[in-house]
Amino acid sequence: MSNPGLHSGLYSAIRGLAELVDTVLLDLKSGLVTDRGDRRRQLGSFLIRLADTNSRDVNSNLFRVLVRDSCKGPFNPEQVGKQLLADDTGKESIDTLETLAAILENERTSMLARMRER
Amino acid sequence: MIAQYLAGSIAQLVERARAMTGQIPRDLPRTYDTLAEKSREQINSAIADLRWLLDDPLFATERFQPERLRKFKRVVSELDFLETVAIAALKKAQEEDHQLNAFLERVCREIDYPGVIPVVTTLSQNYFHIYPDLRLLCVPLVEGHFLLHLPDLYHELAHPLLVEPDDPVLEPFQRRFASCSFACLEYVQGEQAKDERRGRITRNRYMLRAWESSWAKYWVTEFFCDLFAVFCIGPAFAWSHLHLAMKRGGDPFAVPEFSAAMHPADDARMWVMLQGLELMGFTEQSCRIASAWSSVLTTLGARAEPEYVWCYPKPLLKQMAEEALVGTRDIHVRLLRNSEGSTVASELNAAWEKFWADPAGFPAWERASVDRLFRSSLTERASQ
Repeated sequence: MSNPGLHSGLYSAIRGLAELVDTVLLDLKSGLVTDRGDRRRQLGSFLIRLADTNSRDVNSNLFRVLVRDSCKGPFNPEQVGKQLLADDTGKESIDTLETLAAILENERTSMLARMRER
Repeated sequence: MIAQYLAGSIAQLVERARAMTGQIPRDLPRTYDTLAEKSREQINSAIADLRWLLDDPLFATERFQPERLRKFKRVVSELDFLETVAIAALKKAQEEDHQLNAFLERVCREIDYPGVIPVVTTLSQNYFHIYPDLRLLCVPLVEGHFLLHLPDLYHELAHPLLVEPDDPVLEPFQRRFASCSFACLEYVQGEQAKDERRGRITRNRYMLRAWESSWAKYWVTEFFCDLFAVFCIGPAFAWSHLHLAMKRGGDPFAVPEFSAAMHPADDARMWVMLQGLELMGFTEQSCRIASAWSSVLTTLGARAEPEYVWCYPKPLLKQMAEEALVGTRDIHVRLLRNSEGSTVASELNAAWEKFWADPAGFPAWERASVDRLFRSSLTERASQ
């Protein structure tokens, strides 16, 4: 398969996670924490798997490599994952998720540029 | 400023999205229904997202503008993609596309393809590729006039099978894929740990990271799709790979040094394909292709560096071939047999035999054969 198609599969995965992170961020920032708790749990579990180097989940492994390659500063997915699962979130969790949202947005746009081969 | 800009821009984008729906032709053959429906569905979802961004009181405050802007950009990208790929494929569909679609339907029926049959378009500007989400397979404009690259269709058909969620029929294949992905990452991470113990040479550190990225993002997928194609169509796919590598390939032993490479090295791909052929019992054909590949490497003056052997360990590649075969069998795809009847797979293998038996006479033979093959696909579909 040539470049546009190969990027397309990865693009969908990045876009899906970006959607999830933004939905959770909106909930946390607006205080609507009870409305979409399942999303928080989904993201929390995913971030814990992301930190686990023994995980056999294809997507977690892919995103672990992707985040490692793109992250400029410290990023602790396990900690924020646990906070989301325990419903114990605060400014720190929001900041970490903002960092993740920015990483995903950068990856998404650069992936799109590669799909268009600009 | 951001809120004002988005208010105007979002409203305009809703109109653009509606105009795109208006562009979907209503008189196409039923083959295109899946693409038309998927496009409508995604456009409607984009419009709903845009209206939410426009109307939700949450977005009236400055605090939520970053999320709003990111979401807006994602919707813009999605609509751009739908307009330039999906709607364009529907709008520009013509007789040649119809023929290729009938042909692909025949291929899928013959191999008992367990996924949704993709729509084919001849709008590709970049060889063969598939968009699994849209189930849209793109091929170059005149590909339907030639036979030798058509085996690549089988490779493309494998991509959606790897990413389709929650389908128990496909899970055995996906489990083998996950197991190989893990094995590859485990291997590279093991090498990273060893390298660190040895004193961490900076070049190796970057190189191993590039390998890890390449395996995680792209390579296992590409190897699995190659193997799926080998199991369905046999030697013709390996010949097609040689054909592509000779026409467009770079260094067949390339190893990424700083950033991820999308495609594995051509030599590693060929080695895996030959393993696949041997597992299927096509030993004689495998030897012939190996010998031809060896001539290609000699002519190119290509040589494997130690990093190549390090990056693509043969036990791992062999494991991939074995697991992909089990996975393909477990999803009940019909594999190629030595005594194949008159199928597309047998015709495409015969085309390669003919090519080698009479290279100079091949173009004339091909013209007649393409016509017969495509006509019979259309007749077969009409009779169903």
